[in-house]
Amino acid sequence: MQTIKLQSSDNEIFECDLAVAKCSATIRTMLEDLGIDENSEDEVVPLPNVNSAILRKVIQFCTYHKDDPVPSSTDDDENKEKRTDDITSWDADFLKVDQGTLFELILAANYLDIRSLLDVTCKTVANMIKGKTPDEIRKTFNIKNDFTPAEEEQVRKENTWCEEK
Amino acid sequence: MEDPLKILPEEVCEIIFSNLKKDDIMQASLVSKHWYRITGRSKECMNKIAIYHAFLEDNPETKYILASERLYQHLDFRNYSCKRDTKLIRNLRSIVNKFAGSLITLRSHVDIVRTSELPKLKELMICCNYYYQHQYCIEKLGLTAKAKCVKKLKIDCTDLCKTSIKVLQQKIANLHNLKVLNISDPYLLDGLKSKKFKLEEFILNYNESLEWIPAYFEFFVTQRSYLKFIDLNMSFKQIALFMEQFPKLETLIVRNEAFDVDEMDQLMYIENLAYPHNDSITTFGYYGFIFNGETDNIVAILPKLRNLQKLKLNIIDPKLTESIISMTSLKTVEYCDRDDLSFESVTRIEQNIKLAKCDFVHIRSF
Repeated sequence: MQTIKLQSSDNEIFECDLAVAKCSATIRTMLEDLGIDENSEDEVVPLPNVNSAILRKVIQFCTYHKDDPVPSSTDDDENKEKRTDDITSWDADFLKVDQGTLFELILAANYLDIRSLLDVTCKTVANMIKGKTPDEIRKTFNIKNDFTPAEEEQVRKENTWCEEK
Repeated sequence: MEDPLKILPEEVCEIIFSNLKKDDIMQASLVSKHWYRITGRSKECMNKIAIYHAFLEDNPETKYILASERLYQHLDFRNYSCKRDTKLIRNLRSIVNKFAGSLITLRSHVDIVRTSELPKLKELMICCNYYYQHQYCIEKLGLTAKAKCVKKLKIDCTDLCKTSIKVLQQKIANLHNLKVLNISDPYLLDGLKSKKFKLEEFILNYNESLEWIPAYFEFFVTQRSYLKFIDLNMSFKQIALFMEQFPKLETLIVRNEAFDVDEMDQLMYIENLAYPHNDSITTFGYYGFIFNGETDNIVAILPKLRNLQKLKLNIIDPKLTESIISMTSLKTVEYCDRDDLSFESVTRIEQNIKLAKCDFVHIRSF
């Protein structure tokens, strides 16, 4: 098994399967750009935007999903209504984390360009929004309502013009 | 912890919101100013929402929409009351102008959009009525070179003038989809006899202009390389011509629901008409007003449609369903209920549909 060393922002080194690391499009590009090939055992790929706790979770996710087929995107897929009830039980268990970790995973998935992790983490956040009132959403994400009463009324009135397309 | 959406890039927020439906987007927009802005700038979110103006009396004040920071993509003013309310017209026109830069679809009466430049517009539905003079017609709509990206155009118009059609012909070179609804004078379509158009879809829902088809079949011939979808009144002879001469045609919907005796003469079936084989049509619909010979003609047509997958009818009888038993490509029969069928007939029809191994969709709409 070929391995690769990844260095987190807090300088922890993770040795992981090359195939796992290559789930990240960013790492694939870095390997090409840095000229690191499969035989470069001492080379370390620095990931300054991901800390060790999050990188450990990302490697865990990619190890589980490394053999998944690459999803292809077509126009039909883009027009298709997206589902959020199709998160597998493994992914759901994996994402039973505190909110801070969830959003750090989203940022890491975006930085490392791991589409499957980005999709499932964003769906998880969407599920935390769905069916809730504005006040419930605020409580869920600890957000302060910074609308003045007049501004909030403006948005409510504006929303009455809106219909489903 | 600060609002987590503030630490995410906007394109990531877009992915989150793309999983929400309209009602959840509306609720999310009320969470905070930041959430209002990112949902309002999100193409995914705004693509699920249309500004809709239904009835004059019930609508909220336009000032709320004119103060919006959202980038709306879809405006639907087709049901706006046609009263000559100049203030309302001015306000609705202001709404179109405000969102002109982001608009992708617009459904509106003619007097509302004439001054706008709509660089991203792809679908335009024009509604007119007889209260208005010709000068309000399409040439006044601002269909300038900016309208080159319009690919779908629907016209619901009882007062469409020749000049308007000429403007359409000259200005909307990329037109792929034309729906003409309620047009009063079929001869106005004269200007459409141009190969400039690449029409893929043509629908004419007007039952009283049956004589226009022979005169304007020439127009369809100019579009024979493009037309995929036809929905209009035609005789059985014309069905044969469409089957024979339109290689791209996938859907052929025939409406012969005439109630006038003279019109029925024009629709008369031709006994033993030789229908050509056709491999392109996958959906065939026939909505007729029952008189002798219709069923015989449909029974003659169906075996010729060798790749037919969907059959839509408002007349049905055992003889007709017997003819589909051997059609291996057929997947669905959709029957729009009109007749009072006898119990024996229903039983035989159900047996035949079962033998044909098709899905049977029964729409009780009459």
